[in-house]
Amino acid sequence: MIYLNNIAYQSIDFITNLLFFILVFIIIPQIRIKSNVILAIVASITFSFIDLYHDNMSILLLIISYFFLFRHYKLKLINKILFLLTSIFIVAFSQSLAWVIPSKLFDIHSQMILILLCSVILTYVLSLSFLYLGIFIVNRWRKFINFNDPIIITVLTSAMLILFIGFLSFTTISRILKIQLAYIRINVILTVIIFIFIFLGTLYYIAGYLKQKRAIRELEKIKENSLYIKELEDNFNDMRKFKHDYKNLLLSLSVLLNNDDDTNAREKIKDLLHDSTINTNDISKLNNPRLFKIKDELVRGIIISKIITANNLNITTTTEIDTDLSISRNDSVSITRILGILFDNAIEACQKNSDPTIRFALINVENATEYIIVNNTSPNTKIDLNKIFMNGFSTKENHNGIGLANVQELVDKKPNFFLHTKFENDEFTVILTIEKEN
Amino acid sequence: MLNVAICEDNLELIDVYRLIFKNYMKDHPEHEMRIVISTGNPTEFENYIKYRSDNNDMFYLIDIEFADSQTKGIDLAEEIRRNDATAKIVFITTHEELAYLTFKRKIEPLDYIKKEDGIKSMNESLYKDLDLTFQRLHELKSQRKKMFHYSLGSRDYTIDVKDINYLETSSSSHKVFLHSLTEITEFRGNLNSIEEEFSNLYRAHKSILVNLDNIHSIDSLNKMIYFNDGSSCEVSRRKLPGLKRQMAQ
Repeated sequence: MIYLNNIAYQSIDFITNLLFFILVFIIIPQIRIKSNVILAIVASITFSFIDLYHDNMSILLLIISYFFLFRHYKLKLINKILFLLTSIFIVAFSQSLAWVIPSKLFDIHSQMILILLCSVILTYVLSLSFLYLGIFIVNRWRKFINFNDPIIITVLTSAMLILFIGFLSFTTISRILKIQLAYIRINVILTVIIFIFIFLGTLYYIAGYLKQKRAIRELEKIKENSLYIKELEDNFNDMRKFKHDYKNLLLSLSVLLNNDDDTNAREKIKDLLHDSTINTNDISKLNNPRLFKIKDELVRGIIISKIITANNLNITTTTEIDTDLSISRNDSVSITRILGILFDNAIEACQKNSDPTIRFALINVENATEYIIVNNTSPNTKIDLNKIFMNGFSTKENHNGIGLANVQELVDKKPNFFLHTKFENDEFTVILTIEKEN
Repeated sequence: MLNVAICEDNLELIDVYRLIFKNYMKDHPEHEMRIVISTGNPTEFENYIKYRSDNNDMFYLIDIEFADSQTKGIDLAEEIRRNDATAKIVFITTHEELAYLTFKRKIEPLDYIKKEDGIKSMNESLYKDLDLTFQRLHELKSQRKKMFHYSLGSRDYTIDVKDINYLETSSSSHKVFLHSLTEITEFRGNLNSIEEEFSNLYRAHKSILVNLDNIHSIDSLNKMIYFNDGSSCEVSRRKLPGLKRQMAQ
């Protein structure tokens, strides 16, 4: 009888071990290869023998052989652990459950073999149904939960670990107290209760986590949107500039057509079509990316457009834009008008030099912002600064020299604007200092 | 005594500069000068700037970019300027894309020396800069030039009084316009306090202070004052006799 019992227990052990591998192969079909299947069968037989002499030894060997299955297929460690725990837990739990039912139906002493047979079949049926139920649930929820997310995997693994440890400790305690059979029912019930709690807890946690992720994604979307709007704004400005040029061209065309001189007009149109001034790629000529970082659209616009104008006239330009600039909204219209006039003057004056140069700098000092425009003039010019500011004076004949007088007028209207003009060594410097309002 | 301080990350170039300074000392034994620090480490240099104990005049020679340091020459120079408005600063640079105007405004350096120009040119530039330094120091000490000071934003400006033609207040705001030989500038202020401080400035009009030393002629008929450089300003009828009396002296 004892001998028979030994054989029976050993076969149960073998069948259980094999069940574990079957579950693993179902969960991870990628490792279901011939060598692994052979390995699983051999291991199951060997471990069942070892189990005869060293109780509980087989579980350790089982774990080791489990990791050995991943020779060819690489998987994250946390996934491996999760699948391992799931497989072991399902096998162990089904086994316990499968013991409870037949031990109720049959007499434990006389119909031992029947009980054993019954429980083995039940173990298989239960395990496989639990597993497929689990797979079914996971597949159903895959739509809502990203099971590849490392945090969710970790949460699931931890939940499974707690469940597994709980189950294992119940089993061990009942074994130590030698009341294994009597308490197996309580054990199963307790495990189910724990499972429900942990299941709910995990679900709750994952739901919270997903909500947080969605919020982060939404924020990023908003950020992208604002970037896109910024881009649109820039494009719009380019368009406006183009439209401006376009209108001028149309104007000149209409004048020609009014003259009824068709050949001339056609020629002119041809010229205009090839004219580089319509080139919208002008912007790329500006080599200072900081120009685009000037926050005020008006001020940025006037500086960029005047620099482009100067470049098109073959004037060498350099720009220096300081960091952390602040331009007050109240000042931006005045600044734009002043800079427009100053640039026009500089462009006009420097062209008398063989190497016309304009330097522009926007400098941030502690309590003020400084706009500096420096241009060279024809050598040995004599400019009377005092006269420049009078209406009607200009170094160029037939020019409406109201420019600087206008600037002075604009500056006078603003108590925090200060103009500094200097003429020395054939170089004309204008510095507009704007004190920051406190 | 002039202290020379060098910060350059190329150690061979430091030796070159030291040699140039030593040669200059040999050529000009009448000038007292010494090299107090020459280093490739901007942090060490910064410490020197912060904790130097003497009150000697300073001549700084600074590389603008340091290869393996976050600190830049401009940071060092700004630190220097914060403590010493009269220090002479000369930048050495290989960079063409030097923010020339920004540097000029923020630091007011004495000179820029371009490494590309070669050692010979560097030598000449440094000699010239040192000559200029001693000349300016000499002027500062011997003549005690009368300087006119004003400030804008957080920046202080000085201008030699003898370059001023006249000062004028604006009718619309509390600004004073300063007309000099080469520039016109404006700042916050009032004429009364300026008149008190400078004896050679005469109130020729309710809103005008003229520099008596620069007046070329007075047109009594049109009530105009003409200056040596050809510029002009108004004079009030009431102030005309007084002005003529002042000029006669």
